[in-house]
Parts: sequence; C-alpha cells; structure tokens
Amino acid sequence: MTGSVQIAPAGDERWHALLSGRTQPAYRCLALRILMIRLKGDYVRAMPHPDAVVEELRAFFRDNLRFAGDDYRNIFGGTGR
Amino acid sequence: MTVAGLERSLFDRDAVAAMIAAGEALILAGEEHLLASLPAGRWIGGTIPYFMTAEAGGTFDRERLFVQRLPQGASVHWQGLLDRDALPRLDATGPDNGYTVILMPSQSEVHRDFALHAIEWPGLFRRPLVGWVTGVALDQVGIDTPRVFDGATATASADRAVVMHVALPDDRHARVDIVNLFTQADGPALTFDEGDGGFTVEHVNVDGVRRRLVDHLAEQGIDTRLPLVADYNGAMINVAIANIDAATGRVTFFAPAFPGTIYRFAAPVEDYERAFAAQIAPRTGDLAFGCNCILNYNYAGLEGRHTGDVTGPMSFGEIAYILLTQTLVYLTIERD
Repeated sequence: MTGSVQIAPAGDERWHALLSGRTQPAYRCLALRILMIRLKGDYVRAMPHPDAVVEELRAFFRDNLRFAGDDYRNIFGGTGR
Repeated sequence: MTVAGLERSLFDRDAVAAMIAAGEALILAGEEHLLASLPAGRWIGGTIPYFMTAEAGGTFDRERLFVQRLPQGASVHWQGLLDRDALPRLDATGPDNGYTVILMPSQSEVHRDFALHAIEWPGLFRRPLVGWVTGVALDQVGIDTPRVFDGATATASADRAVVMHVALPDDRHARVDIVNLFTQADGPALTFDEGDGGFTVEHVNVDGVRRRLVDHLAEQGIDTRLPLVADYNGAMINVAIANIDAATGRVTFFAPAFPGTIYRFAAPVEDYERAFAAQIAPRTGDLAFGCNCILNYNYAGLEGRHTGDVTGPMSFGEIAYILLTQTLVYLTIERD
C-alpha cells in the first residue's frame, strides 16, 4: 500500500544507483536489507537488461511502503515524482 | 507490553481446546501428543517443547502448549499445508494487508528448499513473513519426528510447511524485526566457493586461502557455539554450527552458508539476558509474534531467564523472510 506516495518511475537513475551499489544508503528496514543482497547480484547478472530487477525493487516499495517508507524517503527525498 | 496482552503464555491442553472452541485464532507450539489431541479450528502449530514464557522465562515443558493469539482486529485470511512444489508461491493466497506465519519441520525437504532458495522466490517480500522450524526435545533428536499441524483440518505433517496468512485492518500494518546478539569479530574473512556452500561444507577460503574448515576451527581454537556472521546491509545473519564430523572433516550448519557471502566468526556475548533486553527496547508497535533459537536457550542457559518481553517457542530455526539461526524474531502491529 502506497497511500498518496507515487513510486518513482523505472527510468529513474536512482534505482540503478542503488542496485549497482553506486549509492549505498544505510537501510533501516530488515526486509530491504535482505532483499538488496539478492537484487544487487541479480542486477549484475541481468545487465544490460535489468528492467525486471528494477521492477522488483519498485514492487517491494509499492507493497511495503508503510514500513519501508523511511528508507524510500531517504533514497528519493520524499517524492516519488 | 506482552504478547497480544497475555500475562501467561503456556496453557494446558484443555484450556487451549476451549480457546479453539470459542473461535479464537491461535499459533501453537508444543509436544506432538498435545497438538494431535486438539479439535479442528483456526489454529496452526508445530512441535517443540522449549519456550520463552512471560511467566517463567525460559522453560522446557512437555505437558503444556505455548499460545500466541492473533492481535486484536486481525483475522485468518487463509491457512493450509504447502508441499515443496507449492511453497515457492506461498505468498499467492495472502491478503493485501497483513502478514504471514510459516512453520516447517526441521530436516524436511521444505525446510531445505526454504533455507537454500527462499530469497529467490518471487513474492517472498510481498508482505511480512515470520515463523520457525519445528523440532523435538534435544534428547529425542533422531528419535522423534518434528511436525507441523494445520488445525483447520487437524492434519499433521512431517514433510510440508503450514502457513497462516493473517489479514489486518486498513489502519494497521505489520513489521518484522530481529535481535541478533552476535556481531562479526575481527577474524579473517571466510568465503565459500561455488559448490562448497550449503548445509554441510568441507572447504572454506580463509582470507582467500582455501583450506578445510575443520582445520581452521582447530588451529584457531574457535568456540563452535559462536556462529559465522554475515553482514546483509546492516542486518547480521548467522550460520550456526550443528555438527563437526572429525572423521570426514565435514562441518554441518543449521542454516546454509552461501557462496559469495563474506562471513566472520562472531564475537562472544557476555550476558545474553541483559543484551536481549537492551536490544529489544524500545518499540512503537504491539508485539504479535515472537520466537527465538534453541541454541540461544541452550548455550546461554536461558532456562528461568527472560529475553526482554518477547516470548515464543525456542525453535530449531527462525524465519524472518529467510531462515535464520541463533536469532530472536518478532513481529509488531503498528497503527498508521
């Protein structure tokens, strides 16, 4: 459930920065800490076609924003565009 | 706070049967003969006789059942047994808003599949997931069989997982967290090559040098009650040692070691009871589920001692999205 927040579009460069490890924020949410271990590996293996990996991370925030909201706002500055 | 307002957590069989008859939705833990004697109803259960109780701290009890009621306003959305073919889509029958409790028998194929592959399953992170691995009294390992029970059909299973999807009102949501007292010590980095990982290993790379793990343990005088610890983006994830076979040089774990992950042995914990209490508080939500590890119970001498206010079975493995060991898992319900 996302409430009024719109998840950033798949083309947003910040998804790729997270999944490639170029940015490494300190995650607060346990689920995200665990999921990102797999997604980072998936992202490398999926290149040059990482769309499905980006979509999985977007889906995580869409499904879990009520407890992962702090992490989302830390990454995207509180705006989903 | 107590679990769902309970002042007690252990009840005799007849008291639990009365709760079931009254229509209460329950998550139960206890000996097989107790669970098998219960009437059908809205409950799931698993075998284990070790508990962290509100009333007496750590307890070994073969004649009573540990009860965790669903939180106020929650309802059973779906419950049932899942075999290894169905388990990877365990999320499919869940609610839009809620959480999932899963129990699975120790050493079963569903346990193994979950441990090795759950993190890869689509939908695993769709909603909060907690649970534990069922077991037996430590002096009955290899004699008794760990089982799960689906109360809806009063069916026991030694080879399937039981799942309860819990729906929550729209103004509440669930959150999962863990308390792991172990941190990485300043030892060498331990990694496993492809083909060397899993539940049972022989070789490990010690700061990049491949050798037998059993030799490394002996040479360094490592206390094998301490787990290997990996850093999952700030979450410390343990791999606890179950057995060392001196004849074959193979080391068996309670959870798999994964190739590509960097492990270090844990630093010792001085006072488990005090450390748990310090790390559990503070919380904003109400506790709805808890479990902890039989190894913490056994190694730390938790009988008669508490782990903060979190109660639950002391299990053969804990689940917070993935399989954990030597870790306390809890789920809270928070209001938006």
